[in-house]
Amino acid sequence: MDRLTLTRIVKERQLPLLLSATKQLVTPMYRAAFLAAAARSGVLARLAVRPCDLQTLAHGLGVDEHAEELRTWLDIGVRLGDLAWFDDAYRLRSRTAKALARPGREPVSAALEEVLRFHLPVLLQAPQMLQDGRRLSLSDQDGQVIARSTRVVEPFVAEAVRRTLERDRPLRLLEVGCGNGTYVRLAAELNPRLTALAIDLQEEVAAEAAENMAVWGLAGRVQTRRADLRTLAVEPQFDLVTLHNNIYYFPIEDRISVLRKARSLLAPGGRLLLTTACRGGNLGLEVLNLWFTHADFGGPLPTIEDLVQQLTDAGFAQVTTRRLIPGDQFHAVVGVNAPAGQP
Amino acid sequence: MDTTTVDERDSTVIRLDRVDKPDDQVLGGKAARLAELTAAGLPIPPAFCISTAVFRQALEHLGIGTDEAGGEPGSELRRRVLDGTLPAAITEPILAAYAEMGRPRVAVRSSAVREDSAGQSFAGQHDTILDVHGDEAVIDAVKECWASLWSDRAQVYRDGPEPAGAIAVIVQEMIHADVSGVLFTTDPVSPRPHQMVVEACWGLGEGLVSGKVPSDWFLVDERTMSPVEQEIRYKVTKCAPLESGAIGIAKVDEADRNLPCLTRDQLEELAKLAVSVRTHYEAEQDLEWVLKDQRFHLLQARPITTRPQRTSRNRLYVTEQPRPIAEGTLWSRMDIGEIFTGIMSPLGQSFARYYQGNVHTDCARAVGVLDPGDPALHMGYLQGHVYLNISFTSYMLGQCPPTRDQRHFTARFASEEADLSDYRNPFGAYPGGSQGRRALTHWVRCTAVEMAQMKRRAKQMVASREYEFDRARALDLTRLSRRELDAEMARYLGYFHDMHVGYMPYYINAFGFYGVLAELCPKWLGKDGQNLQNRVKTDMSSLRTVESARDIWVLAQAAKDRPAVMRLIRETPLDALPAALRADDAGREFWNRRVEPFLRANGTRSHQEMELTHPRWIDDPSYVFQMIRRYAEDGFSIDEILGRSRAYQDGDAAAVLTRLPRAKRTVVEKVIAMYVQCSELRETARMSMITSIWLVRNVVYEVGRRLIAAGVLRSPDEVAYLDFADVLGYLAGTDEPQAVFSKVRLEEARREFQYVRRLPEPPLTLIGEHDPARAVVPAPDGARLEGLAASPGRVVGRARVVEDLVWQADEFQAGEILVTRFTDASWTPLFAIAGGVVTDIGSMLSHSSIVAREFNVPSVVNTKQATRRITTGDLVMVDGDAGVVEVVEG
Ligand SMILES: C[S@@+](CC[C@H](N)C(=O)[O-])C[C@H]1O[C@@H](n2cnc3c(N)ncnc32)[C@H](O)[C@@H]1O
Repeated sequence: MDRLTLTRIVKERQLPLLLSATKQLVTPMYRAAFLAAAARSGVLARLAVRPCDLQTLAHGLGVDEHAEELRTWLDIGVRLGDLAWFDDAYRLRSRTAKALARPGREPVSAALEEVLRFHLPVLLQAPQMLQDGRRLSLSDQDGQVIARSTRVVEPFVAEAVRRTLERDRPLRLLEVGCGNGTYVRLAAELNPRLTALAIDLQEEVAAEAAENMAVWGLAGRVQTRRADLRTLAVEPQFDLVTLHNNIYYFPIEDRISVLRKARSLLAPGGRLLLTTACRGGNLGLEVLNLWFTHADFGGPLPTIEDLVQQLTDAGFAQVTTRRLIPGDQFHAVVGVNAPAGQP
Repeated sequence: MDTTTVDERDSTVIRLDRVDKPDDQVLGGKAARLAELTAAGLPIPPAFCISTAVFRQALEHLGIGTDEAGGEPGSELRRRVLDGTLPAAITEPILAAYAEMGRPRVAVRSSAVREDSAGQSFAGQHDTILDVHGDEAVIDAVKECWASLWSDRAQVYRDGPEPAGAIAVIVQEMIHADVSGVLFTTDPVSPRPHQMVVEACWGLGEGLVSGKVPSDWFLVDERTMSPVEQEIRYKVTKCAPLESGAIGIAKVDEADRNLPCLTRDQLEELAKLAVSVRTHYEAEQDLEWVLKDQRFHLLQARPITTRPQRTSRNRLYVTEQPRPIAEGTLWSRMDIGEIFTGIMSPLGQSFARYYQGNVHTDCARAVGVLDPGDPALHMGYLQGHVYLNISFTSYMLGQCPPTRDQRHFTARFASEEADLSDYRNPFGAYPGGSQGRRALTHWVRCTAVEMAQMKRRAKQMVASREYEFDRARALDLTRLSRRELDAEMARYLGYFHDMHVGYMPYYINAFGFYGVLAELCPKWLGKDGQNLQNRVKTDMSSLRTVESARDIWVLAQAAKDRPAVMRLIRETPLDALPAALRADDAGREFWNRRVEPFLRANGTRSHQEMELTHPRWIDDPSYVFQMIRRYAEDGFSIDEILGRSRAYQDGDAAAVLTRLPRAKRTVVEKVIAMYVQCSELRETARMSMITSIWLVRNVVYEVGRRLIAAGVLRSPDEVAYLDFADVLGYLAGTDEPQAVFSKVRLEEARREFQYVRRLPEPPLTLIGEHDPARAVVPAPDGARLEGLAASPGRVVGRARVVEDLVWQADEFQAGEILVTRFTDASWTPLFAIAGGVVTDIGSMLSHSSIVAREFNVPSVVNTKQATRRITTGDLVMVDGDAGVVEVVEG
């Protein structure tokens, strides 16, 4: 900002507004970005164990030659109050930083990252995109980040899986859009005789899931591969098909046929479990909705009524729903592939 | 054409009786042997041989290099040989030789240079084409033999990359044999000095090797040239040219079924022939022979490589046991679930082993046993038969109060073959003290839980059965990847486990409650009590098994109501019937509306269901259609028959109870109710258990199909020789099938099975070990047979011996006395129209006995000899009260 501008701003009495905007809007955003990066890069986790000097952190990140640049970034963290510099070492300072540093909080930091990387751009660009006729595409989202971030809802989805999954007989599961594979793992743990096919549309997501399966010792029971549900050519061998957090990856007009396709892979009497955020939920969900309304591959979040109707239209019987998060629009829907000759 | 010397360059087509120096390189092994035998004056059917030189010429003409093994794929070379046109220079000498023979019907057989040590026969067999007639057909058959050098099968097991070798072809007069068979100058599996083994069947020999048709078995002492042992089977089927011209299975005339295929004189003649072959080669021989118009012909001779006898042959335990245990254990295959009864193929046995290792101990736990012990102790194997270790089982069941006293359990297995007077359980009694108390507490808890949940579990078992059935029907296994198929197998085995474990408590509890009833009734009510007890046993009108007869009857009525459909059912050959029905409008309607639901309810039944090679009704509905034909013709109402038992039950059976004081009466009523309930639940659960086996079978046969495609197996018949553990290993891995299924082991399984199949049946119950050589029970003389009285009543009727349910179901006349080796649930529809039932094997609690009682059909079981002593058409008296069968008029 040059002098002139400054003078103009002062003259136009915009300074107080600017100052308060910085404090109320910008700083929190900076903090969010800093914390997300600190979490993702492992800096938070490292500092949670013990305070570290610059060299240690630089070495940990594999950037020994760029220690000075790293210092610049870390010092911003100190300015933001999330880190402290003391005794030649950085340490965690703010409550938020300490909380995010605890093991098992990765989904929260991933959610933060999702907000910054996907929610902010769409909020920022929506009008422009409409003017330019531009849409978001699958490559505009980092599948691995999304996979991690959807784990905020993990306990709720897990609850739905627990309720739906039969445990006392051999079972075959198809998970569509498996993400990192958490729910397949859960299902395999709940039912030791379960075998599964886990697919994801995105190569790198499927690859990560496959790696996870191997680490979890499930590679024998779970086959993981890149595939699109719409073109998946397998026999109707599944007792359960699950779609978690991805019905909005399909355009509205495709959803019935997608569900019908899922039904065609089910054994007679087999079931579909679908979990999803729906319209009218918290602000985050509405932004998610915004994102998918501006994407070239998906569609808006459904309403729960729409979903029930779509399942019914796709031929499912005994469709039931269940609100998974009290007070919010996050639901599970179950439908049965009725055997021939039965309602 | 007069070729008197064999020289690679100029000899091409040689009459076998004109070969000078038989050379394997020129004639191939088989033809060289036949030439030698012809020269030795032995009766070989006229034949000529097309030498390997001709084969090479033909390849040269077709542009195929002889060392082409690695280069082009086998299928391509095969196609080029089959489709190629041969020049006159090659065909003319062949056709001239054929003309010289008089253009008869011939068998065209390949004679490879490098096959034919006896041990290689399994994979090395190249093709034989039977009943070829006419010039063109002969040339085609020759090409087919040549092409067989590159058959998948020949390729799969060829070791290393060396060239496929050369092949000669034999064109031999076709003998339309009256009797065919094999002779081993010494038993290849279990040699005994001076004794030759002869196996013989009616018709052509094709069915014998694959075990498709029944055969007689003789042990001939070569010093006296007379049989020292023989096993004459009731032979319903033979291999013969059918009307269509093809060779297939046909029925044997009724008069011949009981007769030995060979007379004593014929056996002697055959044995002499064998001795001269052996003398000629100075080696033990494996001969194929045929008998036509009283004359013997030899078709093939191969040296036998006898292998050292397996020491474990007489031992039943699967693991090494201390001597007192090995020699003192009581074994039985009576009442161990009819799904096991009878001989089992290597596949069936290995599946039983799977059951033993993975399911049986959980079944024991399910009936409240705290400590089921080592799975290896529970079951044993002898000559292809599966046995339950009665000693260990009764020791183990000592943990449960109802079976604490071993004698009850053990006594049931006593028979004249096994004298139990000196028997003492080598495992002793289950310890009392704190260990015993813990076991008892456990049993009490389990039993309480079982009583509370048994109805619900039966419901779940029915629901899961229908679910699994529908799911399996919608799946096309041929389209699954190996990995998916593996997951399918794991699923079905899991289901198999659960259904067996779910079934067992019903079985044991029905048994237990019946035991209580049998104790209380006579004690409290004397003779009337016994009556009551018998009637209760009969009161099981809703047995699922009996329902299957009703269901077939209903199906038969539905067919009768559709004359066009009924005509199709009557007039179409059985194997073409399902397709014929579905191709016809009315037929399709009948199939979809009637047959499909029937199959859903009953289709996974078969006989001896643990034997995976037996097709289920749904896989081969022949038997069902045979019964439909029968039921539709007879014009009787099945309700009359089913009703017999119910009318009976309404009588005054329950009246005796009023004589009892209130408290005792309540007890008896309660016990009766529990017994009936457990029996019903058992029948319901049984269907789920049976269905689980069908599911496993489907995967095994899909693996079999893939193995045939890969050239590892030749035909679906050979699935019988697979080891179930190998099937699982194959599915779980990615190895080439030929690496998993070893040729040597397949061949060994085949030989072993052929060997045990012709041994006399081992006893139902035995102690310790078993020596088949000592085991032959001479058939007692006289017209009187004693057995167990399984279902009361006396009846006189014409006997019909039924060996082959599917082939004979349509011969059976209502009211006849059914005489057979053993029966199981799949025979039920026949029981419904039988006047009486007599079996060789069985006990009071066999399924067949229960069903006979249900239909009120007098029955005597466990006669040991009935099928050998009674002939179809004999007038016999069955006394189901005394357990006696008499031939009134032979
Ligand atoms: C938001 S993520 C959810 C991941 C995971 N189910 C979870 O809840 O953590 C949605 C996933 O669905 C996948 N997906 C979208 N459309 C798909 C399709 N047609 N077939 C298979 N996977 C698809 C995407 O690649 C993405 O990884």
